[in-house]
Amino acid sequence: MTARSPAATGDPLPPDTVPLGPAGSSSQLRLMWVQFKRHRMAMVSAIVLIMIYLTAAFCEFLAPFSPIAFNPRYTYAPPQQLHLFDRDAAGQLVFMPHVNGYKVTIDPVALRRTFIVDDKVKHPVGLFVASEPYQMWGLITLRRKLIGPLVKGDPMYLLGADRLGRDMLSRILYGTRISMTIGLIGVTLSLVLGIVLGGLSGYYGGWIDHIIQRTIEFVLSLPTTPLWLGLAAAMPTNWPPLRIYLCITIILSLIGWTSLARVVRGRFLSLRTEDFVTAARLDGAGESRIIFRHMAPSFISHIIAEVSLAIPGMILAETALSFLGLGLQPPMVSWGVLLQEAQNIRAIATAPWLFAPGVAVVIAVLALNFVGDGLRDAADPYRQ
Amino acid sequence: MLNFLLRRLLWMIPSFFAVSVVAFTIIQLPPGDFVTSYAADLATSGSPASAEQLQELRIRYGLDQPLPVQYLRWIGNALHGDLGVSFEYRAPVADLIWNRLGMTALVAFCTLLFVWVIAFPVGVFSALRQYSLGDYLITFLCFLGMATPNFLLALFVMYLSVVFLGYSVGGLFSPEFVHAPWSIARLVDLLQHLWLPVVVLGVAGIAALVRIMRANLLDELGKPYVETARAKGLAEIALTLRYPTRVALNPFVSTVGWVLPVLVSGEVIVSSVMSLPTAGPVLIQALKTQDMYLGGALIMFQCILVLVGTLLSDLLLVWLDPRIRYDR
Amino acid sequence: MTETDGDIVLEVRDLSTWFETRHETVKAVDHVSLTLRHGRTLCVVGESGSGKSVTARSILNIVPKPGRIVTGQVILHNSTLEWAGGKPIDLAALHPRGRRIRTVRGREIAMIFQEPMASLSPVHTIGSQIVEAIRLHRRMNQAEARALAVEMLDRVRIPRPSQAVDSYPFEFSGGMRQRAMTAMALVCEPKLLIADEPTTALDVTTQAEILELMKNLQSLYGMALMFITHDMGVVAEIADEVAVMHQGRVVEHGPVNAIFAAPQHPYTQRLLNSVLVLERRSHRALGRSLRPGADTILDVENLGMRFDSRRGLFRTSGEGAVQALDSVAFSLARGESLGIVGESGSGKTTLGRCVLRILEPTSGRIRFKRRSGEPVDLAALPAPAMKPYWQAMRLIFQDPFASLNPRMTLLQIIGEPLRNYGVASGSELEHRVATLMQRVGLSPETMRRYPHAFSGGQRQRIGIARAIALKPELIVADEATSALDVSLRAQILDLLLDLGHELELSYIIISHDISVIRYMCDRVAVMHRGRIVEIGETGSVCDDPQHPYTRSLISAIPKPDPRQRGRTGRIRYQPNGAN
Repeated sequence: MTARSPAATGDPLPPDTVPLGPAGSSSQLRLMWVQFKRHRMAMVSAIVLIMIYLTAAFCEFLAPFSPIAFNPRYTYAPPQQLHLFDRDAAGQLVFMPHVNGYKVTIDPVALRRTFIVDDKVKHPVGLFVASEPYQMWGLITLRRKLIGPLVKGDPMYLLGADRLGRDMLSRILYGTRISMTIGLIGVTLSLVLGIVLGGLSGYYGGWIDHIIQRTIEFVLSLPTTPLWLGLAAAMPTNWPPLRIYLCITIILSLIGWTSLARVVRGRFLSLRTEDFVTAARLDGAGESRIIFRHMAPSFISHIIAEVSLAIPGMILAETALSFLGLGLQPPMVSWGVLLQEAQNIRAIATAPWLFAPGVAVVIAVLALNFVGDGLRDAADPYRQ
Repeated sequence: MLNFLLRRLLWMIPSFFAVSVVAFTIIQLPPGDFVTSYAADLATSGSPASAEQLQELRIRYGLDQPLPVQYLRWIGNALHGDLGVSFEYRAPVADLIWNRLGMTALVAFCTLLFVWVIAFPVGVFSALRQYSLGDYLITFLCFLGMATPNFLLALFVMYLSVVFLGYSVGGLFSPEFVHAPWSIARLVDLLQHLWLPVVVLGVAGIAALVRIMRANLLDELGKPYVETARAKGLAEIALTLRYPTRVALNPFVSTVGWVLPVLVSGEVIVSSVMSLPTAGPVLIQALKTQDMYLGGALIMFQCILVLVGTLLSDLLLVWLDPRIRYDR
Repeated sequence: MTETDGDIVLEVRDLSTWFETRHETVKAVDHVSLTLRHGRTLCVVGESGSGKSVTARSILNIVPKPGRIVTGQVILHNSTLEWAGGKPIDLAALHPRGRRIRTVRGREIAMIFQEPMASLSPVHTIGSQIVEAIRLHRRMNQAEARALAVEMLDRVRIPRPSQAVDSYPFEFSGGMRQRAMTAMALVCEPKLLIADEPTTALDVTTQAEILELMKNLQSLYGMALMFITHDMGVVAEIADEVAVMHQGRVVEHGPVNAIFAAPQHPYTQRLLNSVLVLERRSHRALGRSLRPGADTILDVENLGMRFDSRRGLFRTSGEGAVQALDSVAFSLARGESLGIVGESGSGKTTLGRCVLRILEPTSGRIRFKRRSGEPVDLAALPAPAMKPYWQAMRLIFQDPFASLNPRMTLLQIIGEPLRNYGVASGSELEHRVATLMQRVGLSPETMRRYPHAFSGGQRQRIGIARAIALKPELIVADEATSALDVSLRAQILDLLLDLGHELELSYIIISHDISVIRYMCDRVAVMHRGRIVEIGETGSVCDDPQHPYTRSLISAIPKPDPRQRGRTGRIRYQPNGAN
């Protein structure tokens, strides 16, 4: 720690003094990065987010099974623990990943299957196991999976099985792709709408601003779920899943653009009266140069922060819609679709692992919120 | 102040009409209309109607007119209390929804009060003890609360109740009180059931408002008038509550503008999970079966509920903030 | 207990207040000692960062975190507090949030602050804030306290005090709010009043009123007054004793006459010099003589500018349109510098911006004649046609922080006009920018740094470099030195004068500070409520003003010479109609 006397904003020294501060040559990006790093939760969440998006990208490789592969013998099977080590015949610890099998008893009265994990039965599990050929991104044919049972047909339900004996883990991994990208696409559309309308509103002011502002206020004052439901219900159920997917995204973004528009407008309005913008105009800069070269860098960071805070809203909205059966439909797999299984209270009572997609939602949204919070703090590094 | 109130009241009129247009659009979106569904139903039950009969029905209900005319007819009828017919229930929509909307309003406003009562002191505490352990804990809980979908929370609560209590909590009344006339006992029963959905609905709202109150109060704490109060000799707690908290109360109250829509919107799903006798479950069912008059009417009234609530909050704001009263 | 004039009320002994953060420790107050006496005024003077405000807050023990008093004592004598029993109390030793220090605050020692709008709660009435101060320290019921509040408001000359007591701060002007704050501070008759730059945010004429009020109240109540300021004129006007602070230390203190007549410490000398040098016309400016027969570069006729109230279905308030400029007319000869002086609301900033067409005038003509060309009426041009003229007419802004884009390097900022007018690019651009930076006293090696790395004075130089980049003919300087410390002002003004010489520039200098105008300008126009009330040679307008408003303005300016105190009576200006 150095002790020094307070620096005056005046400089009683000769004019060509050394500039103050070590950050003198740091660009805006660098200052933002320094500020962002200070927010520990945001840093941790950023790593978590990267892992989630990598999962979404490589889900075919990571998931042990196909999301539609079902097995009636293992309906509602409980999760099996993955053991990494085992004792061989000589009693030594060796690296032999395996899961334990099930002992199945059928209750004669209720005709219900009960599973108890039987640690005498061991199903070996391997890395980079051979599997049925599958398509990665619909382009590349691969024959290996990251992890899976060595013997085909062995059960490996690390997160349990659902009503049809489908592997929850695989389904959740596949669902990551849909749930996380619907957020991105929806937000991009909202962003475009928000920037255009917010920009027009803030830049021109006057009656354009008035109309757009009133529209935004009006849209914001409406309860969103009933409107989504209404729009979603109006879609014919016989449409192909991809078209439904796109329609849902459009519906979500039609309602989400308002908060982005408000942020853009607010920044435009405050920037418009800034001296340095006036100076740029007097320096002979044309309108587009003023907007893109002078004003934009000042609000891009705010936009990015708002965007990352808007994505969770999209994810939650899609989850809610699909949960109700009015959003994405099977065989498309998203976390919301998976949670449809959890609507049945009796089912959850006996198979609480059906909540697992919900946990995934919470983790993803938490991570996005923390990152957005960190970005918002870092957005204006000059704020003392 | 009068100016402000007048403007707000007059603004309600175009808002109501915009809402009705939106609701009407939603009603008309699915392909086909009331008569098509009726015809399909007749066909499945074995007594199909002829084309002329269907066309006559169309003319009777005015369904052959262009859309703007249909809209005017619909809104005209609505203003007289006739909101169309529910296809699913074969009854006038108006009869079906009033009770439910009343419950929705009750749940929404109770939740709003709950959210305010909790979020205000927690937010104040969080700001005053910034960076303390309590603050970090509260901040984390807030983020968690905002990240959990409300229906998931409802499901989880019901799961817990099944596992620990043996039955699933749901509904707003015990079986014996469902259709009973109003009495003190019924009120007590209602309150006993009401708190759970209110808590479930309110969690996300509390989380968001605590963050907002915290941020606003932190802003105000750094302002010069706080220093003046301190220099006068006021004790820390007294001056914090009397000045910056009081000033930060204004933006807090004005958050109703978006909290109420969120609550009414969240109520739709939560109530269908928890089987509450509110508008939500009926709306979802209506939309799934494309019973559009019922669905549209419910949507419209939910929006109107929110608009009225926002107006009330603006009135409250006028009372609280002298700057608005004097038109500054 | 009655005190006599000159009795010691408060002694600050060897006080040190430090701000300790993770990275560094800032010694804001470094072994400071002061003495405050009954009936006397001590002015603590220094530039920004000198530690004067922190000292004041240390006395009352309200230093904001992470600051804390490290050593020293603050001894309060002759208190009337029961728990002190008549003995001197060390305020620095009391717990900052304890009960005892709270009995001192507001009652034995009171404080008023710089920004009266921000320093009063916006949602409570003035009356309730004063009554609270009363009831904290005296046993009175609500009605008695309110009556006392009304009486106090009357004593500080607020009109209609019984109505004012129920009004909100935003209903008052700046001067009125400061009076209300003073009333609130004095209502418990403290022994010491600390005033932290109470007039800095006010107009000169309002400042004069408040200073007079304070002197009257001091002779009425007899309290000690500790007046913090950076303005040597104010010091000369009211101080009995002066303490000069620099970088946390008291570098010099003594009676006011001694300090002004014979300053000992080099810092004090420099401070006084930079103020006194502005009392006269700069010799640089004197040396220049206007070329006879110089043509008119700018001719403004009947300029008017009206801000319309917001139109719409409903008016937000009863205000009508504001006439910011009303029939303004003047002309500027080539090579001349014209000063525009006025208080807030006079329209001087609006005038500068209208001349450059940043704001649109609603009437009048602005004839601009370039060196090579015919006079053009700028007011009649469509907005896009202004661009070529902005090469010849440039603006220097007031706020050195807001006028530079924080996300652009110096090279980009200064090079922007050169780029947009196609004058240079690439390495030629860099070369030109380097030359410009050297010209204004900046080091060219720093051209790739960002503005936040530079101090306020250096940033203003960047702004000047940007302004002269295109070799303009006319420069409008809108309060170019107002945001800078006093010691820097002369430097920047000298730079402008030198550049004016070298590049044959004409200047329009807008300022509320007449010493700046007197230093630099050949002629001056005095503005009041949108009109030019007087225009003429600087010397004659300043020494022998004709218009009553100019007279009141000149008479209100505190002169940095204590011997002149009270010699020139202050003239109040009453325009036709309500004041």
